[in-house]
Amino acid sequence: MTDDAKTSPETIFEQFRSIVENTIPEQYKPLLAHFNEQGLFYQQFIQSLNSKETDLSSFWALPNSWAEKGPTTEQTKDWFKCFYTLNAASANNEAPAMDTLWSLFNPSTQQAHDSLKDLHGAFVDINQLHTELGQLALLRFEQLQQQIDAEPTEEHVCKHWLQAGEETFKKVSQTEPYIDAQRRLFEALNQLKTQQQVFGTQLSQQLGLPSQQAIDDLKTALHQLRIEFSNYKEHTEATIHRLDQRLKKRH
Amino acid sequence: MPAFKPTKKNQWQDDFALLLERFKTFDEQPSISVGDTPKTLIHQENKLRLFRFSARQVKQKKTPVLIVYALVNRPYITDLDDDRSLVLRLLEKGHPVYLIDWGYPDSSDSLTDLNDYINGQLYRCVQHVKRLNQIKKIDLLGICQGGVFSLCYSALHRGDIRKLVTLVTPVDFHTKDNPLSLWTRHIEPTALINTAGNISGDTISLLFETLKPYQLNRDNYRQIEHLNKNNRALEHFLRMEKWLNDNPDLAGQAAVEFMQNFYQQNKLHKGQLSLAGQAVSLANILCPVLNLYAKLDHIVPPSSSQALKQHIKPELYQEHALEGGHIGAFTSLKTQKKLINLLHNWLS
Repeated sequence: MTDDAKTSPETIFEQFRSIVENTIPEQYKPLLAHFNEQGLFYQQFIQSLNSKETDLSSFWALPNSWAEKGPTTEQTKDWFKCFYTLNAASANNEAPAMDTLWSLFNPSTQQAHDSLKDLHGAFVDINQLHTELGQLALLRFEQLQQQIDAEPTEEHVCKHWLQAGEETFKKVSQTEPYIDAQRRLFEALNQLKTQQQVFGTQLSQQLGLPSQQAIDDLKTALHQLRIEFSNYKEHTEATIHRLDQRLKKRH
Repeated sequence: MPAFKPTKKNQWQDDFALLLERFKTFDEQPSISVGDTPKTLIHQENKLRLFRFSARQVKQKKTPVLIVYALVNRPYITDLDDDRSLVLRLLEKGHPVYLIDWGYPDSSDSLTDLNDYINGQLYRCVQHVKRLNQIKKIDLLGICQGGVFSLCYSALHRGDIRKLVTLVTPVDFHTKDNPLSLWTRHIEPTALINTAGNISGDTISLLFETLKPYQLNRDNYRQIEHLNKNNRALEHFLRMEKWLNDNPDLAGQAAVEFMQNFYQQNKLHKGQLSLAGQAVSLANILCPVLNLYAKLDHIVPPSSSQALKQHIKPELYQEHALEGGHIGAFTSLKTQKKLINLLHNWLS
C-alpha cells in the first residue's frame, strides 16, 4: 500500500471504525469519535476553501453550545416527553381512562402551547443571530487572510478560522438582542417546567402516588436530619478532644 | 482573498492514523488514573470526604493547608498527575496538605444551601484539621468558587485561619470583561434546575464550553501531532479529558443562591452578603491574604479577582499574576515553579 492510500479519507474512516469497534476500550471511544469529527470538519473547511466556495459562513455554526442545546438535553427531553409524547398518545387513544387523563391536562395545554410558542420564538431569534454570527465571522476571516503577506498555509487558515470565530462570538454574544433571546429561551423553558410540575402533581393524584409536596417534605426532613447528625457528631468529637487534652495536661 | 496554499499531504490524517495506532495498545493497559498521591480519608459526612495526604520525607511545617476546591468539577485537578500536582509540590516543601472532596450531590442534596456548605461542612472540616494537628489556626487555600467559600469562611470564623490563599477566585462578579456573569445575570436560576432539584453537571459544562466555543469544542482536537510525539503529553491530555467530563451536579439550592447572590447581585463585593442571617463582610478578614489570579483567565477575569484588594487591609494583602488561564495557572508546567515558590514563601 502506498503512503497516500494508507491515509486516504476512506482508509482512515475504515481504520477508525475497525479500531474503535474492536480494540479501543469503551472509555476512549467518544474521545476518538470527537477527534475524528473535528478532523473531518477542518478537512471539509479546507476543501471548501480550496474549491473557492462563496458562502463559508456555515463553518462558524456554534458547536455544542449553551444556546444551541438549551439548559441540557436531558432536561429538555423530560419536558418535551411530557408535553409531546403523552399528549400525542392521548389524542390517538379513545379509551375512557386516557380521556380522563386528557381532560386533566387540558387546563395546562393552552399554557403549554403558549410556552412552546415562546420557546420556538426565542430559538428562531437565536438561530437568526447565529446565522449573522457566521456571516460576520466569515468577513473577519477574510480580513485576517488578507492581512498576511505570504500565501496562507493550512495552519494560517485554521488559526484565522478560530480567531474570527472567537472574536465574533465574543462580540455577538454580549449584545442586547442575544442576551434577550437567551433570557426569553430560559423563561419559556421555566414556564414549561412549571407546567410539567402541575401535570406531575395531577398525575400523582390520579395514580395514588406520593405528591411532589410529600417528596419535598421527606427531602427537607432528611436534610435537617443530616445537619443535626453532623452537628451532633462534631460536638461529640470536639468534646472528646477537649477532655482528652485536659487529661493529657493532668498527667 | 489570497489563494490558499494547499499542502501535498494531509498532515492531520497522518497524525490521526498514528494516534489510532497508539490507542490500539490501550486495551492492554489500565485506564488512565488521576489523584494518585497517597492519602487517607479522615472525615466523611454525607457525600463529603476530607483527605489528608501522606507526608514526604522532608522537614514538616507546623501549620497544615486545607485546599477548598469549587463545587463545579472535581478537586483531583489539584493532583492530576505527578508532574502537575499542586498537592505534591506542597508536600515536597513540607506542608501538611488536606483536601475537601464535596462529592456528587444527588436529589437528596438539593436543599443543601451555601450556609450548609460554608458554616456547616467547611466549618467541620476545619475543626477536624485543627484537632488532628493540635493547632488553633490553619491555612486555607481556596480555588475558584472554593476561594469564594474560603473568603466567606475567613470573614466569619476569623479565629480559625492563620493565612488565606485565594487562587483564580472571583470577587467582583460585575466587571466588564466577564461574559459568564453577563449571560447568567439575566437568567432565572431556577430555570436550570432539573427534575432531581439540582443543576446538572452537563449544563454547567456546556456553559463553560460556550465561553470559547470554537477553541474548546474544535481547535483543541485539531492539534494532535504533539500527542503522538510524547507519551506524557497524551497521558496528560487524557487526564484532562477525564477531568473535563467528570462534572458533578450542583446542589440546587446552593447553586441558585450562588447565581443570585454572587453572579446576579454581586453581594460579596458590595458588602451585602449574609449567610443564615450573619453578615459576611470581607473587611472582617484579619489574616494575611495572598491573592493569585491568572492573566488569561476567561472564567474569572483578573479584574474580578483583583477586586479583593479593595476589601483587605494593605498590610495584609498581596497579589500576584500567574501566566496562563483558569486551570493552566496551577496545572501548567510553566507556571508551577512560580506558583509553588510564591505559595511556599508566603505560607512559610
